[in-house]
Amino acid sequence: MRRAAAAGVHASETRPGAAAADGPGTVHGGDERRRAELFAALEDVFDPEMPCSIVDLGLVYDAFVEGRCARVVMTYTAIACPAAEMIEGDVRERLLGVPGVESVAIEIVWNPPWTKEKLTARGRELLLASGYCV
Amino acid sequence: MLDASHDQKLIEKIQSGHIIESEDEMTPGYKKSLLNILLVQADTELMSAPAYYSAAKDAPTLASRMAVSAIIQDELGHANIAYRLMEDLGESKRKLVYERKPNEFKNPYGFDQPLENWAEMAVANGFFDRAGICLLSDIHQNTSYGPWRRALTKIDKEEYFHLRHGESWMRRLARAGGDVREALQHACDWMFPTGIEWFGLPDDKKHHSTQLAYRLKGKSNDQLRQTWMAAVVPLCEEIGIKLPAHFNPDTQQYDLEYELPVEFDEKAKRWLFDQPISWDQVWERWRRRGPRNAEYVEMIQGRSESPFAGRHWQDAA
Repeated sequence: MRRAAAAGVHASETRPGAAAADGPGTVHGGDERRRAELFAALEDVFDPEMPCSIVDLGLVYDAFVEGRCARVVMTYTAIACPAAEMIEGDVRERLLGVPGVESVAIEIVWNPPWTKEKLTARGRELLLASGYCV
Repeated sequence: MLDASHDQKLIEKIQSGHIIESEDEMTPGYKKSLLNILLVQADTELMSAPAYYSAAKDAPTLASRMAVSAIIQDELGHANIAYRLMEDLGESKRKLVYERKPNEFKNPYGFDQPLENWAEMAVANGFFDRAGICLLSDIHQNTSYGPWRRALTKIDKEEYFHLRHGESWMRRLARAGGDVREALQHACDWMFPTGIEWFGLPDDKKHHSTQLAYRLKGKSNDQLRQTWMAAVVPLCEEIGIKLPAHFNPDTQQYDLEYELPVEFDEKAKRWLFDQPISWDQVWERWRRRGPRNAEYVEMIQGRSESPFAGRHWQDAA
């Protein structure tokens, strides 16, 4: 809960029994800062079909550092998202550029399902400007 | 004479930045030129679908199969948008799609060709969708027809997705080496000159462009060809694929290493660089259409004797 609140999502919804929070020795002081760092980095990752970052799309449910591994919990707007492979490649590449991160683990979850309510205000604005109904 | 002076006034207005929003503002010349260029866009988007569909069956991973299926869906959507714009000007989408003969479609010669393996699919996304982006983003930035400009906002974004799919697969195939890499080189060998022809006659062979005068588009054929080469030549250099073109630092332009235009052996899908031809002969080849033209149109329209042929049906209201 504490971790998730910083990014404006609710961990209790997004990661029931989230491994990292429950695991031993994973939540240290300074984690909030690391989290913010990961989210800031993920704002550079854009959906290849939309002029909008995956953070503004509300696809990133959680991101945290465990040891030297950056873990991301995320979803897609559609189960057969044609850009999934590209987005995962971009997430990996971007997070490997964050100081102290040596590996990246991405967990794709479908619960809770993505809805347009998960867009940030900026995301909504960007999509409206591109002709999407949101 | 009255028409000509109206036309001149409209051209002056457009050249000073005026955007056309409705049919009332158009002269017959403007409308005709707009319908022509819209039809080329619509037909190009539509006929990419059957070409991609044939190659999609070769997709080597589940993710790429989803991606290429989505690309086909996008292209049909883009075609639908362009035909829809034509409907606002009095044309019938159903007639345009289902009641024309194969040789009446205006798609480029490249989409009359068979795409026979995954390397050709990757290069189609990497080269042909790149050509589409060069043409459409120029129109998006410069066109004097407001409704078209707005419709292209979303189309542009989606085309970049197709391009990225193509380029990332071209990189992967190049890294794979062996037969795969050879297939990639072979695909580029015939698809690069096809892309070069895509942009049409060189500027010095074209006497008058109404499309530029009416600012339906902003850049000339040669300028667009350069924009395209500036993207595809460095990509191929990066992945070690040979193309008959290079950057000339003196002119700051890309130079072709053969005399345009040349003969194409359709059966072997091979350009005969030592057999120069005239642009009139190129026109003739285009008019004759490529080997898959009739088959691709039938894939869209259905067999004419079938009760499910598209001409018997229309979209449910």
